[in-house]
Amino acid sequence: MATEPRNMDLWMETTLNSWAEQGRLSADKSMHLQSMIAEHAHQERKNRISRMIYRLVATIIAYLWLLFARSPVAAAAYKSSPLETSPDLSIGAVILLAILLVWGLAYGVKSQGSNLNLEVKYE
Amino acid sequence: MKKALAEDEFLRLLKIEEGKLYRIALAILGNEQDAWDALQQTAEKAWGKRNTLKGGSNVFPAWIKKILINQSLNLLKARQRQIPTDAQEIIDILDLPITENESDINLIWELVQELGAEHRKVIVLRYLGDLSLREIAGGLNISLGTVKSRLNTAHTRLRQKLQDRHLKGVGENGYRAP
Repeated sequence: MATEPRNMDLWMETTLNSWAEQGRLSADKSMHLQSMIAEHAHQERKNRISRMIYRLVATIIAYLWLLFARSPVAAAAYKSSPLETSPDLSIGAVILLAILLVWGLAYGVKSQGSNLNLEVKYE
Repeated sequence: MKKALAEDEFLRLLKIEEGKLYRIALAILGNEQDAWDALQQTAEKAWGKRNTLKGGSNVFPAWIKKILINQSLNLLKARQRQIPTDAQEIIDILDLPITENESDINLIWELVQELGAEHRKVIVLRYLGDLSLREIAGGLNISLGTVKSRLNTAHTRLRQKLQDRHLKGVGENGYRAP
């Protein structure tokens, strides 16, 4: 090693980083980190599947609502349908509430999945 | 749309960087528990924000180090800990094997520890944290002029210490731990 580095700045940067590179984590801590991330990934996958199911149910309910609603589209599409075309308004309201509930649940699952332990932001 | 880092790739890259990140956190925070907390928070945050990583695995080390520095500074502010004052304490904690080839590496840390706490913070954040002088000023809540002054003073004092070490015969022949 030279008595005095020609470029102090560069020497400090390279030497300190070499020192940091020598760092090693113990096996149990390393395993803990890996399993912590794996658990987060697993939870994300579960949430994703739940959201898909909720959206599928919401879509089916929306379809049923359209089917029974006073909709020109539905009327045109089901002109020859044997089903009653004058819907009960209360049924429509219930179905609409069900759709909103399912979408709300899906949004809740999405929010829960992304809610990590975020610290105060350093400016 | 850019694909986020896959789980196995993320874990592989984290495994490579974890030791270095832990040591940097330890240098900033000064104790094992805080450094471990910072590292866990960093891993969680990095996982949550992996979609924002642009450049893939090549830039992962710099990216996650930036997250670690932010987490460490947040913890430092929250817990108001001092950077370690005892070089030997840190060497003991880290269980460094002292060999002739690593004389520079261990010498630098001991010399940095011999500086005052305020100079050590600036050195660690500058050379291990890769922060700009302005970012250091913001992180430590001091003026830019103060940061520059401390960095210059640290360089001067380190240069003097290196000369002193050489005169005492621990320069070119390698450093020997006490």
